[in-house]
Amino acid sequence: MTTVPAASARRPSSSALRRFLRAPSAWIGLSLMTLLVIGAVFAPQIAPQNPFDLAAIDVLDARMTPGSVSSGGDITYLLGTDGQGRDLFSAILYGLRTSLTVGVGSAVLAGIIGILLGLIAAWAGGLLDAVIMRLVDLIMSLPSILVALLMLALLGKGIGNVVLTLVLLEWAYYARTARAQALVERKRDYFEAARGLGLPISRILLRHVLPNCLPPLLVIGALQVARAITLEATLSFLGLGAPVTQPSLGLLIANGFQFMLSGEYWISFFPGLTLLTAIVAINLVGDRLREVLDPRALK
Amino acid sequence: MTTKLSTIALSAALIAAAGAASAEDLRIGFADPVSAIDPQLNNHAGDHSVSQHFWSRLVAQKTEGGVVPDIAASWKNLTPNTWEFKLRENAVWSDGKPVTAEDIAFSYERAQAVPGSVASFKGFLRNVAKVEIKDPHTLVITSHAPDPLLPINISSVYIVSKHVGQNAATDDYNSGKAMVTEGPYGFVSYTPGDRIEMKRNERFWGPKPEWEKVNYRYIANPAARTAALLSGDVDVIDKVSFSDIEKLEKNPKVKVWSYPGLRALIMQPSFNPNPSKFLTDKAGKPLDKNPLLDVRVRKALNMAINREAIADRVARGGVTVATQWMPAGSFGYDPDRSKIDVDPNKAKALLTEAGYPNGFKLTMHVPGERYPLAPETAQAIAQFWTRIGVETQVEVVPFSVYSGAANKNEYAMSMIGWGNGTGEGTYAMTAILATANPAKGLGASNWGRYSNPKLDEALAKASAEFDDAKREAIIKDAVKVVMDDVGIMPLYHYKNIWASRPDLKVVPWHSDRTVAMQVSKAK
Repeated sequence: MTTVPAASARRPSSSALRRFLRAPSAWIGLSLMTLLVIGAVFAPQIAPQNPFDLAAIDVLDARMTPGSVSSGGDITYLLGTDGQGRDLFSAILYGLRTSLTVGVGSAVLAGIIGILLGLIAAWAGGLLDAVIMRLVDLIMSLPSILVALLMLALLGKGIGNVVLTLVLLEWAYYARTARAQALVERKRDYFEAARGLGLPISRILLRHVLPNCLPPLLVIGALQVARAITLEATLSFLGLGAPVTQPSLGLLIANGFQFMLSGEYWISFFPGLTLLTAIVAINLVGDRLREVLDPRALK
Repeated sequence: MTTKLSTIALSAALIAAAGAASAEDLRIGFADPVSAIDPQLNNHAGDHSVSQHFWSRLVAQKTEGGVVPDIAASWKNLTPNTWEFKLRENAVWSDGKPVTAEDIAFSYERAQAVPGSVASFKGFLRNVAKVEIKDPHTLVITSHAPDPLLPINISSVYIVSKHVGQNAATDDYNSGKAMVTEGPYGFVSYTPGDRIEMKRNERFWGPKPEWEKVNYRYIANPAARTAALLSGDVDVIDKVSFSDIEKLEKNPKVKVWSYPGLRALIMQPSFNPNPSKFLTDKAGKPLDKNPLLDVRVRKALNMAINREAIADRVARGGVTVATQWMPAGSFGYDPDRSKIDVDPNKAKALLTEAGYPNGFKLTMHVPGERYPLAPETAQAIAQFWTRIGVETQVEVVPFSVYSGAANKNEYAMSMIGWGNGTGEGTYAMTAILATANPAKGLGASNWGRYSNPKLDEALAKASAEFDDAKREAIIKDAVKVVMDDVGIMPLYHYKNIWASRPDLKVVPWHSDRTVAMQVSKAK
């Protein structure tokens, strides 16, 4: 009996997968994403150098052009080196790891918190609903970079604090959507049926309402990952994110941007290109997801 | 058609004429913020640069060190505690009144108590006990203790006129009301945070100032300064960004002027005997004893640093390697300590000998925006140290947080940029090497709390020695004492770099001050 709504939700999603793959943009986005994820996950195996190990990098090799061979003769710097002699190819793979971890980690954490609060707001209504939703309005009305700067000024810098800040900024988007969806689902017959059966409310919300709310939340999730990666890069660029000896993409860009016009373009250019690719890929996938999952787009 | 063409040609010529300033004018783009043009409000770099156009000192300093006449034409040491200064007779204020000993006495009083000062000139006058006026052009200064450095100290204090200054506040200087000056250039206008306009002082007692008008423009951002020079908005810029040096040197429309400077970047190891979370074993457990207290460890760290590599790769030639706190050729530089051999193997052996065969972990702290290149330099040093087994983390901290913690000796390893403003060795000895003693004004910037009785003794001796040769010998001995003990680790001296139009010549004036007097037409 209780599996009925879940089953009804599964059918459109399996046809959605087929429709999803029909667009070339989805293929491009997915394959780029896969490539970057593989690069990030297997960075220690792929990278010729551990750019976070200070004993492995050599300042004497600083600012070498792409394709140069290290003074030790053992590494070819495919994308050149930065101002500290880090191999940029390795640094980008490791930086991508940081960026993706922060992006996905904060999006998932914010998702859990935001969805729970959204469901509770929809269920409880009244004062609790009002309090949660005004909080959502407040957070969404503030410019995120300003809030992030303030938070990091209070908490101190570091990747952990960046994730915390991003969660604080992002949960509101999930909460608003989750609440709107749950309000619709609440009026459905299966909801009344489940209530009639006397199921505990937590079970109804999580097992029955939530699966039916998921499609738009997935879209938001994808876009929030991209947003989190951009914000982390911005914060690291401003010197508030990753530690200087363990650069993320944003910090790599920051380290090189003053030298763009002096001819040493590669220090900023390649990390920037990677960041751009990652964000475009995620957005392509997210956009396609939205097209497929949006009921209005089905018409 | 021809009329049209000539109209175009004419208007083009007019536009060109309006854009280019007259050959007698000079436009300078400078980097240091100016807090006021009251010359006695704040002892800030930008304020000093501006003040030197409008005001003289009793005596001035040369860039290579040493004291030269300014308003005082001559002076002599009557007794160890008293100095007699003879003023030049031809110095006049811009309202026509002569400069007299009254003005000097008044200035030294006013400079110690200007309301609203955040960086007072009082320190330069701390040893002045009494200023006596013998006649309008003669005065005698008595010091609390015998002080061979008295002329150097008072060379930082500008002389304002008594008859205008006694009724003037800082705002009156800023508005121009109290700008009755006597320096090489006179006051035209001041726009806070933007520019200062000046004109030639025809009645200046010294050589005729080169420029008819000077437009002294504040451009904080280094890239914007470079852009202003390249576009022809200004004729000279100072503090050329390290990233732009190579580009500008290749540009035929620009000339780069770089000179060895006095400002040093120095690392201060902490001599705190207590365990610190910034000094741990490889597992992250704080060490019971501060390893930096062992001279072998300090020597190992010092010889692991490849200073040449930092100067070349990190600073792109914008600095000169430092092996002691004063740069080569300055008063108190010891040529016997001109080299620190880079030897990672010997460094490892020294660590083993000191009881750290596997090294340890160290976190060093560096301010983010304060000293140029400091974070990049710290990372390079972290590489060198990690390679000898001292795993090093670099924490970049905002200066407001950094200065508080460093001053309390909370960091294991800190960095300080030291201007060596007096151009001789005892200034650093007093402020960063002497055993900290706030009551006596010693060791105010000795963040690591280094303490060596031999250095303290040398400082006391040098401070009371009037014979320059003997004083320099004492300072050189102190260099040996400190560098053999590695009380500090000097890294490099910043070069002072200006860039100009190719038809101009820029020579250093005093240290890194940027003034119109240092710019002339190239012959």
